[in-house]
Amino acid sequence: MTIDFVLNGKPQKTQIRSGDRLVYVLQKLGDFPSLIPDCLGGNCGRCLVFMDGRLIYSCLTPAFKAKGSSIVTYEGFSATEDCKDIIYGLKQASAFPCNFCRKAKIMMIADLLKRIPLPEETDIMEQMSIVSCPCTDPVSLAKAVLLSAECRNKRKFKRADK
Amino acid sequence: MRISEIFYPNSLGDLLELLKANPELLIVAGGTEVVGMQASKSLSFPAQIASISHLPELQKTTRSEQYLEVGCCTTLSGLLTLSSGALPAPLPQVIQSIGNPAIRNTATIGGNLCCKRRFMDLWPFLACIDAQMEIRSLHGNRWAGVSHLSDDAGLPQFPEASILTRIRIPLHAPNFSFFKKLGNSRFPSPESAYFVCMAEISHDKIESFRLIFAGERAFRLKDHEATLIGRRVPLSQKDIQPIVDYYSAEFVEKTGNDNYQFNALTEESLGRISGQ
Amino acid sequence: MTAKQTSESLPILSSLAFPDMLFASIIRSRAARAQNNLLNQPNLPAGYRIIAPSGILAQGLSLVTASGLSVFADKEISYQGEPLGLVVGPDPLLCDELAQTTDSSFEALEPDLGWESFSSSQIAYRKTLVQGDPEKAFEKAANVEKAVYHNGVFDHHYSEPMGALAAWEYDKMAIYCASQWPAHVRDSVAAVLKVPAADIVVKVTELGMALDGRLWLPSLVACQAAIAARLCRRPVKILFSRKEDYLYTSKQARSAVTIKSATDANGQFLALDIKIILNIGAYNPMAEELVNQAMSAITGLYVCPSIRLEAYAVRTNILPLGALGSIGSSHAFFAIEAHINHLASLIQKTPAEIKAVNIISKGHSNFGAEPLESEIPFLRISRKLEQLSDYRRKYASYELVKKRDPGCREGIVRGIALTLGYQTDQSFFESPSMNTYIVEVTLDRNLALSIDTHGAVGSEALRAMWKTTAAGVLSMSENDVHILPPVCNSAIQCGPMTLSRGATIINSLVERASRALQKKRFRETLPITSRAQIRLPHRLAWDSRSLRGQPFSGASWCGTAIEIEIDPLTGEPSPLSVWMVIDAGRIIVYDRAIASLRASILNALNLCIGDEFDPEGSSDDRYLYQRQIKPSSYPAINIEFLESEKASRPRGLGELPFVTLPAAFYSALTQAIGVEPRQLPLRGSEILRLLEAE
Ligand SMILES: Cc1cc2nc3c(=O)[nH]c(=O)nc-3n(C[C@H](O)[C@H](O)[C@H](O)COP(=O)(O)OP(=O)(O)OC[C@H]3O[C@@H](n4cnc5c(N)ncnc54)[C@H](O)[C@@H]3O)c2cc1C
Ligand code: FES
Ligand code: FES
Repeated sequence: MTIDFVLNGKPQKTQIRSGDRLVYVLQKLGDFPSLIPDCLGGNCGRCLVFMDGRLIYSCLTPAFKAKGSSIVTYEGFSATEDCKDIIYGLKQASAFPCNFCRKAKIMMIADLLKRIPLPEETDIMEQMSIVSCPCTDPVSLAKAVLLSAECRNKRKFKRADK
Repeated sequence: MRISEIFYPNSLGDLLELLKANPELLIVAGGTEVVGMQASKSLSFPAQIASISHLPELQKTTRSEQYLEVGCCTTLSGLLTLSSGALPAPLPQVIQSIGNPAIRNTATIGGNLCCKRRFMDLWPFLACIDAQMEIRSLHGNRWAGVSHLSDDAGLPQFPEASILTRIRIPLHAPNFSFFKKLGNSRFPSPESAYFVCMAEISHDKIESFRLIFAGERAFRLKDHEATLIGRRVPLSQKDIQPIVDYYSAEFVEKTGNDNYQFNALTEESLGRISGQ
Repeated sequence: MTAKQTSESLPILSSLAFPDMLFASIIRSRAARAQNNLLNQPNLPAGYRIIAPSGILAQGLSLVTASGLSVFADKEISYQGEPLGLVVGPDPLLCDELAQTTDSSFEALEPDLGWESFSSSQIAYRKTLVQGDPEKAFEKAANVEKAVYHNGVFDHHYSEPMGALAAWEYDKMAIYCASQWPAHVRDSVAAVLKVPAADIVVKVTELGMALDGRLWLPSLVACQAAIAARLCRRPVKILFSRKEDYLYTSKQARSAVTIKSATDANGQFLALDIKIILNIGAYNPMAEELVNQAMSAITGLYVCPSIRLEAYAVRTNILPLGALGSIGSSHAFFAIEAHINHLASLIQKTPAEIKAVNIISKGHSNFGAEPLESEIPFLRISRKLEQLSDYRRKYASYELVKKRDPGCREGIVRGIALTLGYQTDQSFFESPSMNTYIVEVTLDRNLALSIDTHGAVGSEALRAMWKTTAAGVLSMSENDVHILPPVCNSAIQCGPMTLSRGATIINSLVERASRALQKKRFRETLPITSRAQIRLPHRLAWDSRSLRGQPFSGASWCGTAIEIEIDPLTGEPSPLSVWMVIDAGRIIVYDRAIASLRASILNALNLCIGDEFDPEGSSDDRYLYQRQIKPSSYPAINIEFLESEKASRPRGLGELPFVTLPAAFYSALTQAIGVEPRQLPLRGSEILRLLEAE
């Protein structure tokens, strides 16, 4: 069957089968290095996308559910100032993740800061369960989130001032 | 890969027609459970599937003084973002114990209640607070307690060719509640379960009492609950022990599970009711 | 990849693609043990083919690697999931489906699953050592105690699942894979393709936290990809699904350690009779190292005049089992610490007191090794640790609670324990090629320094440390120092990078090579290269056959304390705080060392409360139902390094949490519940059952 949706701002019309996971369909639609389908079970986070503004696992989403939706992958998000704030925070905290999980962690932090601009430690730990990674030091990652938040809030605050 | 036919009903009426024509139709709300169960790269479904989460009439939330009424496709995150106080006290905590924020962005309350192979986390709570559900089929709609989602043997049941459309959550929860989630697997496993005990205590008397343990099976002794009504609190250890023993023996017989955790939880909840 | 690419950005296999690349999925055996296996050849869509042992042999290739591993099972099957062949084709999803539906016919045999009692044909490696006269000592001793301690099977939870990509680059075959031992990959692939080793180039992909699980298995997968690439004349990538990785990659070996001890009234050891059994599954090429490490660790810290040590690596018809975070030693540390706990409860002393009377001190040794040259800093470590964790007060108060409330009905069920441990850079590998390491540093015309090493490590902290070391010696900015991605292409043998080796060996080579370069600097024209090489003096320092020598040279020492709480209602133990005090010599990048230790501690906790893998289970649901520690329940972690050691040379520390934490956790659990479960991990319901029985 054919479904329509918007991917990173561009309308798409694509052929899918009932058993397709969204993540594999997206992979076929372009070069999305952020999508690394791995656990296929809502654990590793290597397939995170924003669907209609909400962070979801595209591996757990049957492709047919994407019909009519608007999807943003990391590649779509990476051009935003929000993304730059997060990269800054990760670098400042020396918590830069490996190639395998970096984009997933950025999406995870982006979602948190969108919902809770000044997160507490409990919010950060709760959000961390979205992306599994055996090598993260939670303390550095939490520091990175707070630094990103600070940077983001400063930027937004200044802009609002003007 | 088996190819299934996918339907996107335009309205609830359409969906009911579809259900009548295809009693085996699989309803997919958030899809987290039906997909989460499958680890292979390609998914397999029954011959017909209906995707329902786009239907606006299944996402409506209304509130009266007595209850909150939510559409079955309300996501768990959606429930958490309702204004504070909109949900009875322990419910936000229970919702927060489900999966993680990204799962909850997709998972729906209807999908949580209608899981066919086991009981998920919301059911024992909603059953304890006498939440009501609307079941619709082409024959009409009816309201019933969510506790009807368990059969006499404690297994999940759901009427054929029907759909759960709305859930009415009473805003007043009993003034005593004690609950515990068991198991820490990444996807609900045979050892995952919820223990919930709720009671209304008024003038040092038990006015109502509920105790449910739900995992692969549901365990509840409705008749025994009735015998506790009217008892004076605090209950003494002498009062508590026979209740625990009775529950314990029935638990082993009805569920076939070992009762170490169940006994400890039952004793604890009765102790807490008594302020011990 | 260009030469400029640095290993700060190692590629990941999932994202690597080559023009015309094909994918391969492994066809796996359904039987645990069988003979006369014959792969069925189904009808395949155009563009897909099956690669099976018969076809491989017919093409003049080999099925056996240089170290004797079989790339595919041919007639005989030795575990469920053993690779039988490949489905190769353009669509990875379809390859997977086809591999899962391709089966074989075979004559099933009764699998050997028993391992605590086993037949002689199951023994993969065995070693016995005797010192003094244990028999006589046991006869005379007043206190003789015997107990068996069990350790479960654990998965490594790699960052990226196992896989390999084989592709031609000019006249050489390039293998991309995440291996801790690129030279092993190169030699294995050369052997199966029957080409010189110089024709194979190995490029290491992101290792993440490999935890010594990527020592030899990547070589097998690399051989499978290389054979497919050779037969199809196209690049071929194999990438396990996460489920496949969980169900079929090797895991930590299961162990049963029986300890019989004779002690005096103070708990001092008079004799020890120890039997270590490691269940290594169908095979493990490192069985000998596992046994040697376990044997040396079990008495390493304590002296005893009479010891009988017997250790076995036992084969069973389950998937290969081996190392996780330490090669064999964590099993041994766990057992001896658990036994000391047991003795402590019998003679009314604290475990710390028993350790104090037995701990090895300067001038002493076991098995006739040279006497210890300098005092081990355990006293300083344990004092500091006690102070940090408030050990004495907490220990005493939890003991009081336990006495007052033996069934743990009052609600507060806590325990605290303190364990000592070490890791060495000593080699247990026999072959000299496994003990050779090389580092080359080059200062180019732009005054940028590149560090070239085969030492493939997944730890970003270690890589940062090498950069800091080189930058320090050459007085240059760290921004101008780059680590080249590990590429193994020369004929020089290079040893494996186990967790213990990155810091000690490679860092000292970086330092040596940088010093040599510094001498040439300003005299020679750029670019200048200098090289440092080391072959570890394996026999001199520590002979694993006779266990003679200085087992502790180059060791890092640590003490680990943990405080845990048991939920009295569910029995689930949860760690509240972990403290570590470490003497690992000079710490070069302090923050990174702490950060990577914190991550290792969380990983090591998995061995205590995480997901135990059921290797005999046949249901795939095991994959779905893995147990997890949620970030919201991580313990507080406090790490300190011993002050006075900051001037000495840096030593390894990555293994320390793995060798000490399970033992500490067990002891704390024993204190909390007042029962000795003698095994790890334990589920909540089992703990409640033990309490009930008590
Ligand atoms: C990683 C992970 C972790 C999880 N953790 C938890 C957890 O901790 N606790 C927990 O309770 N669950 C957990 N789940 C399971 C699941 O996510 C939730 O139970 C969720 O609420 C199901 O909702 P859904 O909309 O996704 O259901 P779906 O998957 O769409 O449907 C589930 C079932 O309900 C039926 N159904 C759905 N809606 C209706 C309706 N309106 N009428 C009739 N039938 C209907 C479907 O046919 C299907 O049988 C987890 C899942 C994953 C993947
Ligand atoms: S692939 Fe989607 S969460 Fe792992
Ligand atoms: S998986 Fe990337 S940092 Fe852990």
